Amino acid sequence: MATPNDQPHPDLDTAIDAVLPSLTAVGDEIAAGSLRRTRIALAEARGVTAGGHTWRWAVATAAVLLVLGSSLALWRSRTPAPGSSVERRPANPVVVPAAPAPAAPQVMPVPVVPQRLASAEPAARRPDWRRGVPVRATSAPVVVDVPPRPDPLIALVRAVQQIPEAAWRVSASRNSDAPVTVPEVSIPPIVVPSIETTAEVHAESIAPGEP
Amino acid sequence: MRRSSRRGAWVFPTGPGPATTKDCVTDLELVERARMGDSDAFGVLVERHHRAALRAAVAALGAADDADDAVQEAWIAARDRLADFRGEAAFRTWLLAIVWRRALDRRRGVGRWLRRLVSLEASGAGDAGSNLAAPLALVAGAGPTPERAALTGELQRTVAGLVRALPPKLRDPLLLVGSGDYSYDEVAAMLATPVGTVKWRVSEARRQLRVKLTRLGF
Repeated sequence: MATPNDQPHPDLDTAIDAVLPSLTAVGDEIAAGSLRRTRIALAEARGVTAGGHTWRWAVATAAVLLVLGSSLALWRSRTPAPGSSVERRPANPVVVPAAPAPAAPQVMPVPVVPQRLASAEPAARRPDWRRGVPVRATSAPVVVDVPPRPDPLIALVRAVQQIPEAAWRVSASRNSDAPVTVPEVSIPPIVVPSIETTAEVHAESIAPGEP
Repeated sequence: MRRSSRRGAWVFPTGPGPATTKDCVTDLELVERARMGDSDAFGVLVERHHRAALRAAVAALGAADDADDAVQEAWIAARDRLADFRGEAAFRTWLLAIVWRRALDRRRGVGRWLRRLVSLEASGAGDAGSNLAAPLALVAGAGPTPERAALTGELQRTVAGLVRALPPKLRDPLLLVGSGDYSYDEVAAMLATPVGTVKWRVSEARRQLRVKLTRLGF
């Protein structure tokens, strides 16, 4: 019977170290072929890139030409043609033409507002009509023209001052001469029963200072 | 004939100057020449780093054909974006990052997924690690005196299957570091992750592999 000691037991780390390089090993032929293909790919990519650059330049040039052509066409459309009726004048004319005479003011009919027909009764208001409250911006202070209310105390003082002096004295003397009648009030006597203590308090049981 | 004090190379007044001998020229100088339109300089860069780029793409894609296409696209992209190379990292690191991104784009592509599905259905295997019972049975029935070479071969095949079955986050750094071609810094730049994260993932991948191999009886 085989025991674990009989079996060869190679070092696992050594086996791992031996296997790992082989997993990424690249043969000479494979490397040479890959290098050759890479050089070809680089050369082709350079040509493609150069062609791509040419194509980009062509597109950019075409775009610039298109923009220039459009701008020129717009400019020519706004510039008057040589055979048009616009008169060409020199930049520095010898004879300066006189300024045109002021035109006579044109008489325009004044618009006449048609008169309103007066009606006997005012027009009926719509049911949803409400007195218009001026709507103002909330940021603006709302100024409401409210008349100041009279001070009632001032009004009272003025009213008192308007009382004639004679009437004031007569009223004052009448009030001072009038007898003051005080109604008699009968108050029953209050009977207070005498207080009786139920037990005598011993002086020994109360410590000095205790209530 | 005089000796150049800068590089110690012989300069011939009438003969080919150092600009034509690109074997001893650094990558940065080649990049500068390529930027100025020297296609030969870029060709030298391709020749220098194509194998490393191809190996990185194989690590990401697993298939040499896909890796070849990805590397070609990466080289074209690198040449088009050569003006963006600022020289903060080595050209090789910058290139490998581009290769890795192109390879990941292809790996996520629908076309490749469909091709892989078709190939898996044709082979009748749904998972890379599904054939792991075969070596286990072989080991169990090997008898008391199995040949060590045969067992090692099976172990390596099992390890390969288990590595392919790892999640990509663990498999990618493990393959890149395990290939021996790339430093941890280069792998970190490729994966756009910190170096510490790369180291942890490699360690975790190794641990998972050891656990699975132990369960399988190795």
